[in-house]
Amino acid sequence: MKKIYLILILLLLGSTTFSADVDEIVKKAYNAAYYAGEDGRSTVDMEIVDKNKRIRKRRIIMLRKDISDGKEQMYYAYFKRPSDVKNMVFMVHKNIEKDDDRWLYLPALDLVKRIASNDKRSSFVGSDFTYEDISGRSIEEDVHELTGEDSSYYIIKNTPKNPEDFAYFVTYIDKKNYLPIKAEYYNSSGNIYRKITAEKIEVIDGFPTITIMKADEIEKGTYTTNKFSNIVYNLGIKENIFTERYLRRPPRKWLK
Amino acid sequence: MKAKYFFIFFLTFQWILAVSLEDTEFSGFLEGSAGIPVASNEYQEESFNLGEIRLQLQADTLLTDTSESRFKIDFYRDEVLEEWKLDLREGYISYYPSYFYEIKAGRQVLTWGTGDLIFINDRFPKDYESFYSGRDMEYLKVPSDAVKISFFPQKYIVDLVIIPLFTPNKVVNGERLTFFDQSSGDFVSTGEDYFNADEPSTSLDNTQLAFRIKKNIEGNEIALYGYRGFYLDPNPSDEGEYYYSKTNVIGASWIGSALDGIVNSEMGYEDSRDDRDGDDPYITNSYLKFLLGYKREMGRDFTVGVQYYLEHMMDYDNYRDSLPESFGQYARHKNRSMFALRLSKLMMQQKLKYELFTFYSPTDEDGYINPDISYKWSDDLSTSLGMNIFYGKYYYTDFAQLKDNTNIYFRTRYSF
Repeated sequence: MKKIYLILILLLLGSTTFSADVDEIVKKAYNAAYYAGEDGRSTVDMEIVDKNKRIRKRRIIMLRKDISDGKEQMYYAYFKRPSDVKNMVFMVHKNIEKDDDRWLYLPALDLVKRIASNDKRSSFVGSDFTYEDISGRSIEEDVHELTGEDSSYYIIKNTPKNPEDFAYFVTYIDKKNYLPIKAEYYNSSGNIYRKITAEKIEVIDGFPTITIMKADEIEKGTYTTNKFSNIVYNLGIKENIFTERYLRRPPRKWLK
Repeated sequence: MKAKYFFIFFLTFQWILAVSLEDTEFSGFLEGSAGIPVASNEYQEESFNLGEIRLQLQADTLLTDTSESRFKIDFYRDEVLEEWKLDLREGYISYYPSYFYEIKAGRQVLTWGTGDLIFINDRFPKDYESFYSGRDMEYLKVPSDAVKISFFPQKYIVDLVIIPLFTPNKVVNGERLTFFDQSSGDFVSTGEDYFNADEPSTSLDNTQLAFRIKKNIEGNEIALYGYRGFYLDPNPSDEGEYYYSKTNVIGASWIGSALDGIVNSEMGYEDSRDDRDGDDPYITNSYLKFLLGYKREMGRDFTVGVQYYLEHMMDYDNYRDSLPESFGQYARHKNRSMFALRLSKLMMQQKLKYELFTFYSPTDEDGYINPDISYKWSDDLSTSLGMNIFYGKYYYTDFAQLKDNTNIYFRTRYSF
């Protein structure tokens, strides 16, 4: 009898360890992809390609500061190019319990504008990346299942708890550094209609970092490539940089 | 007077260029715009109320580690007024020596407050003629010659703006757009500035002061405002001349996330210093103004914003008692309310934008509609097509009087 109890306990332990493993992997991946270091800066060269292969380009300097790992974060995006958006600033306070706070600064009008942020899957500055792709989709939004693994990757199926524009998405997580190297989005008929891939990974300041990232709208025939350069971690950026003061007057020290 | 200041700015600009050309970024655009009235040409001298070729040049210079400058110059041909014009849009130096304060001095665009095209505590000059004729939104704001000092105690932002040189609103004055003049009881034909208002002289006493104290508490932005200066719209005197009367304004605002969107509220009290009892019919009465707004995303790249605005005249009885009988029919309401709606839809990787902005006043039974379609052909080339539509039950109310200016506009811009 005691043996049966022991077996039951072991089984229970085994299954909880297993499910904890998935959540642990997902959590590690989320932190590796979005929370490396305490803060960071990079130059993003974005190429937005439409279905006629016409290219639009954006150059953005991005600052990031983590308030707590895996949770609250602040983003500051300063537009360098093209000319019609030059000197514009986009700022996000990423919240966990409530909607993010987003601001846009329009220099020609000296206007600080609050942006509605209830839809996290709308396009980031006209690209094929969504806001969520840029600042991370909360891991609480999905149910995660480890559906497979090989020597290099964990394959995880993520099914949204609330209805989304995808039925589910599958992420491939690198076993070495926990970076998600591919995410495939499936529609309700079971086809991949969208995917995001890490095209290049480099180790910067000790942090494995995705330096080229591509979002493919397979069904629409459009795609966007983000190339990250001048990446620096742990600069000691202060929280107060992410306030209205620096929307109106960009913090040159951090934008060089 | 203006020419002298321009010359000083120009010299400073030259000096900055000479000092640090390699630290300067240049940008600008070339734009052609046209606006054609479609309602009636009865009071319109020209067959178009917007016709421009405009070149804008901007130079941003990093001067030192703690200072920078911006110069923005518009050079354009205005076919409606048949003039070549050179405008200094911005010409300022921004100096930020310390964590605790910074200063921005020179010609600058100033904006604050929470309204979308409804301004209560933003007492900085606006160009309604530009806005209603179909120029880019950028030109709604007229720059001020000012010094802005900002302090940052704790987590507050304290802005103090000192405006020694008076810049009024550019109101619909007959130059380009027609309006109803109550004293003559007729519409004013276009061609020249009907008001030709006397501006306050430059003196210490006439220096305008504006301040704002603001704090962001967990995404709730709360602000207090104050202003001492003038109404920026001209008002008539007993002698029939136009001038700018005095006002003090105090107010407050809040904006934050709520109800799955953004909610904002703002109020202000305008003290009409030259008519405290409200018994001078020529001078604006004191007002209490209130605004409530809400916006949210209703679909992918589709945003809806609604606003409710209410203005309450403080001394309505005195106003009505003093109003000459011939003006009685044009009398303003004690409480005037207005709704605003903005629909905005982005498509094709945000290259295509449909936008509709509209005002409707149930009190005046009049309104304004501005549909606009813009398309980005490339990073450099964009086009906008839209309309300014004015309507109303009576011919003399704020929007209805502008009915004949209803136009279709078209703009194409090449940015570099």
